[in-house]
Amino acid sequence: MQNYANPTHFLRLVRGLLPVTAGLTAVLLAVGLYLALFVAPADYQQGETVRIMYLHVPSAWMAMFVYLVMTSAAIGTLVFRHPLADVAQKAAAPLGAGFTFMCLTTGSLWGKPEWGTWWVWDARLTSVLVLFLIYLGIIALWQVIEDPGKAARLVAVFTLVGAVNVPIIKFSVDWWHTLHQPASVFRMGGPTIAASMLWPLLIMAIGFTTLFLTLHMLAMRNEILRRRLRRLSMLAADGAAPLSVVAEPAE
Amino acid sequence: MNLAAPHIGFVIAAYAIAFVVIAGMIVATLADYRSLKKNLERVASRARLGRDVDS
Repeated sequence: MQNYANPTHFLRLVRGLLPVTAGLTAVLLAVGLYLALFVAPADYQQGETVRIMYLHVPSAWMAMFVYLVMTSAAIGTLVFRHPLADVAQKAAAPLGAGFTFMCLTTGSLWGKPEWGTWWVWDARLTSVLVLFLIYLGIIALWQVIEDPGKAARLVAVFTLVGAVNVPIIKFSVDWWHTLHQPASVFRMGGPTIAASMLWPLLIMAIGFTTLFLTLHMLAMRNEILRRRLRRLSMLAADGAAPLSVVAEPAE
Repeated sequence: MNLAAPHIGFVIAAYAIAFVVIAGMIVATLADYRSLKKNLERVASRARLGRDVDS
């Protein structure tokens, strides 16, 4: 990991990996959508509305996975002081917010025909809403603190505190009586979903994961360039721009 | 998929929202990159110009 502490090395790695992850994402999402919409059967009770599951469940997994990535990055910032840890943390937050928003809205659209309501203050739904608010808080913190170093430490502490919400989301359906159904894929005793529905779900989930990896690398590249631009602008304001800074490649 | 099934509007709305969110994340990330690259080139060329004038 320390080999990629140098942003220039990291950017070179990203340039090599991006076409692979982007291509893989396009293929996985195309296959996943085809299976989800045209091959997987309708549910005997829910009918066609079960197809919302192929978006809702992967986005819910991603909402938590992205937060775990941010938590690891926060540890990287506070404990190991890895130079790219806070870059990774900052780049992941809007993506996590996007997946969480998708999870909440698709869940609401699934809930209305199945439960008869758009929203209920049950433990699972409320804890995911809290996760969305935490994401927004982290994005806001990054925006209001100008010094990236100071912002990184504060956001890392905030992220670690917020991490307590992730197991609450996961186990909320076991700890409390909720309207939301319990886990049906990652559970003791194996999945309870039929294979014809499980495969499209898993392919969509892997597609969402590679989509996140692709966008995360792009967003990290943006953040490195943003810091380079900030450094260069400050040097230019001081009337000195060393050639080493100016000559660094943009990607 | 049966487009005449009950509640199909909810399914279409869910996929439409997912499309908008994912497209939004992709477009925002790429637009940010283009803007940063342009600004970086502008600042770098201004710095080079300043150094040439000084020398």
